[in-house]
Amino acid sequence: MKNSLIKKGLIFLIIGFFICSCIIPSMAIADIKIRNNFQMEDNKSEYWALIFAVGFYSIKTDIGTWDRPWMIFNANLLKETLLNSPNWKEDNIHVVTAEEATGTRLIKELLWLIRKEDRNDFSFIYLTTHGSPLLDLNDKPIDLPPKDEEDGADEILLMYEGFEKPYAFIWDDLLNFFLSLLQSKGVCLVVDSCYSGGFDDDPMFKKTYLQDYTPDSFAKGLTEDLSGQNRVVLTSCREYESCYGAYFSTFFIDGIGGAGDFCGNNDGINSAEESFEYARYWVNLTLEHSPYYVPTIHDRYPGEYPLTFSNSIGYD
Amino acid sequence: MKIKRIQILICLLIIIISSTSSYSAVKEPVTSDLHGSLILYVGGDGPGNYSKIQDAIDDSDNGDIVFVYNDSSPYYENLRISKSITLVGEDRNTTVINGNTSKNVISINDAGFVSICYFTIGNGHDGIYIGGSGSSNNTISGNIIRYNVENGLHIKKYNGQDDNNIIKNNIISNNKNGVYCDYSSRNIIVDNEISRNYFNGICLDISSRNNITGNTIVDNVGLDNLNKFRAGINCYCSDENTIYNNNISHNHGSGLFLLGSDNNNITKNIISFNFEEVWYDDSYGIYIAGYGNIIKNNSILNNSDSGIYLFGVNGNHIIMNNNISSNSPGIYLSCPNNIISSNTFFSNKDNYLRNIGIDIDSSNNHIIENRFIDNGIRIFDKTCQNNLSNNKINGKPLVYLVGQSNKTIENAGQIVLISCDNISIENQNILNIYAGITLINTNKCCIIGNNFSSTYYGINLGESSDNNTIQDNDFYSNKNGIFISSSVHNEIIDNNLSIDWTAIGLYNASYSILKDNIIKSAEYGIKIFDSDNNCINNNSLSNNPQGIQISWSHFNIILENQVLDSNEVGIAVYESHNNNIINNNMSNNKRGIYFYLSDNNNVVENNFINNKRNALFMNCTNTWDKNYWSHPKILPKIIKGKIRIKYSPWFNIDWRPALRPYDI
Repeated sequence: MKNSLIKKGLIFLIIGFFICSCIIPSMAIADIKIRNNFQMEDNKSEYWALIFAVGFYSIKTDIGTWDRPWMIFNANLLKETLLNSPNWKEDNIHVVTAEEATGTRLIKELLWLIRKEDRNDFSFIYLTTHGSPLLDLNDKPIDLPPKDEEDGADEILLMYEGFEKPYAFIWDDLLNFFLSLLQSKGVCLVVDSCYSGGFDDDPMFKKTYLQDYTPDSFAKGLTEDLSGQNRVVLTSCREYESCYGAYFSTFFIDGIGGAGDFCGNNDGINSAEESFEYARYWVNLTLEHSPYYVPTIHDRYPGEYPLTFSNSIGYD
Repeated sequence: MKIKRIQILICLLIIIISSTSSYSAVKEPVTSDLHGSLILYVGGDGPGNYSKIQDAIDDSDNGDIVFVYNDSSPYYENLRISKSITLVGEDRNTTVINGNTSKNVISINDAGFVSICYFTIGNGHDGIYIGGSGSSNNTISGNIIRYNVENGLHIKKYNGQDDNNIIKNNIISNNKNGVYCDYSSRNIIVDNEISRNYFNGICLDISSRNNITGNTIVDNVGLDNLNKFRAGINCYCSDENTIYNNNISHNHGSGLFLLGSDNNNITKNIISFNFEEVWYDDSYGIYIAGYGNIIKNNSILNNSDSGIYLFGVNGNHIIMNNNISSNSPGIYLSCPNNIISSNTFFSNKDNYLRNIGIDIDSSNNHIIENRFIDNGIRIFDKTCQNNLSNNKINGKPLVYLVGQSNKTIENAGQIVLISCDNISIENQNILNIYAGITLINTNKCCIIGNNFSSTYYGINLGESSDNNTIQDNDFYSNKNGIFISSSVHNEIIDNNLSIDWTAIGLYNASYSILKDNIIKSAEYGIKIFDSDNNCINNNSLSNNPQGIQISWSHFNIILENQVLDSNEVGIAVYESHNNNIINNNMSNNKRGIYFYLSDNNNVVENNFINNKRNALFMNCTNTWDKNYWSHPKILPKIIKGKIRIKYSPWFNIDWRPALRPYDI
């Protein structure tokens, strides 16, 4: 029964992927062309953010099993922190949490971002939820097309119904596809997710294969798969989930809020790279270089990716 | 003499600050003489002004002032101060000293009467370090101290002498600890905003007689993965501190955590919404393992664990006039000899959703004149004998009797009887508490004609509470109705129960009679566990997922009951033997009766009517005789079941099934 459910889910996914590959790009690209003609005259960069924090999940069992309110707390704090900087406008930030954080909604929001941004702009995407390698019921890894995984398993991020429905997730290739439609001169993607190796995240997948699949490989796999030109990708994946599951995000948000630049090059710009370094330092300090929590960066943005400005020096 | 000099210095400082703010555009020369004290200028464009703060400090003498302009900020320095000077920044938001290394940003070594104000101080090991036996009477005020990898402010002494440092009006955030006092005493920490530090807001480590007043200690993150004791204020072996009028809220971990700390005075604080994300981690409003602490006039609200958790072998704490609301529970009392008086407890519930204001697991406490609204008390066992007097629950008296006889109780909010007998409890109306009536080691009482609603237990009998009668009571919307443990010969008769979980539960309780009760809509109508020789007679059970459940219980008689409309099973018997199930009517259930690993039970002359499946068993051999199986039957009735060996099909037989239903 479960096997057939999984198969159905995968068929849905492949069909969805096909639709996304063929139809949405043509719509989106046509739209982009029109917008680019219009906006090329305006050299001022705009900053766009999609903050997507699942935090609560459709299946409720015991208190505190899968729900992580801290994710939602951090999502709201992140928005607040961005808005403290002069380069951000409230209308340019979308925050999606809890029961709204479905796979469909994520794709809609990504399309919103694709429609809004242009080549002068900066786009920032923050995703936090539970994660996992994609495995079938027999513990075999699944690499959906394109077959690009050395270890044979795509990395997936679970959506609101992710513990209930076998298809309620987004996988790295699909996310990468949408990111590739972004025209922005800089794209920053942050993924703070738990990797489920040490935590009974997902009732659909067995765990024996996961013994060979470390958070480090998950983080590196996800980061490399999502990297691209002008893109900085930050991930932090933890094996053991606990009450303070949001180490990386907590410190990263403080980095954006001023600590990154203060402890960095002090040029008034809190860059993604500086904020990452600040977060990595504190994650390693508080967890004593735990191998189970691996902040990872893949930076193909030339120079520093600006996220916020500590003062008006850097932002005119 | 010294004091006079300080006064003069303070006056000078005020004059200088006002003059510099008025004429900030005009930069002063390198020094100016002000009645004997030199002012040394750093930054700015005055002739010969210092470019480094440390150079000015080195050139200064005791009593001098070093004034730092913001136009050359940030200053990447690690300052060392060993003389009594005043270090003033032009503007705390824009005059930045950046440690930029793993060293301390500012170290005061063996120096007294140093003042540091109006800087942003960050990116060092400690933001400000005050150390050495001579480092007393320093003032740190009006600074922003952040982004330091150890402590925002670290006061460390080796000899335990009085320090009298004043920490005032600072913003201290994003450090490992906000303020860390290490073997340091009589410091005054006042009116600071201490937030979003990664371990603790304030940490007192073997530090006594400090005064912590008027601070806002919020949103400290408590990410110390190796130490569970994270808090807004964390005191370890620190005595006689005053913690007054602080807002200690939204910290991850506890609000206040006192370990091995005695005689502290905690007064007039707001301690609220301190939390852990998952239930198995601890997060108290105040946790105390110590002696003789005073907790007075605080508001202790909405903390995710106990509002106050008292632990130890001898408390002697005084807890008075506090508002303790919506914690989980209000107070957990696990040490003796405390006074808990004149507090208000409102709507506290523990992790199991039990309305508990005070959870008492100790003795010799004086619990006096407290007011409980929508919560009450819970007594752990009969060894917990305390003095409870003049407490009110939902406006009615909390009746707590120990060792009394021959009384009638009227109009109570909650009733707890320990080692009493012949008490009559009638016509009470009890609601919204943990247990309406608790009997511990209490005998021969009559509980008659009472109403219970929204309690966790309506009536809870335990620890050899024998020969009691519970009759004609109404239970509505309680979690559990009547629960009896480790007691014998009780009678439960003619009660009306509409319950969420278990209507009547027997746990290690024998020789009781359950008769003529009406039970509806409970998860378990009657649940019997490890209880023998009880008689369950003529009860009406309907719409309960499990009508009667018998586990590990033997020689009980289940007689003449109506068990109807159970959507799981009418009567379930688990690992129980030699029970007699006679003359019951089991109708419209998903399963009429189910046996699991239970032998030698007699199922005789029952009606099985319109059940989806009348009977089922797993690895059992029981006696079935003369039962009516939904329709007249001449041939023996085969009852299908399974045995354990690979769950093979098996069967029992009712050799003489009834031709017509019994009139039950």
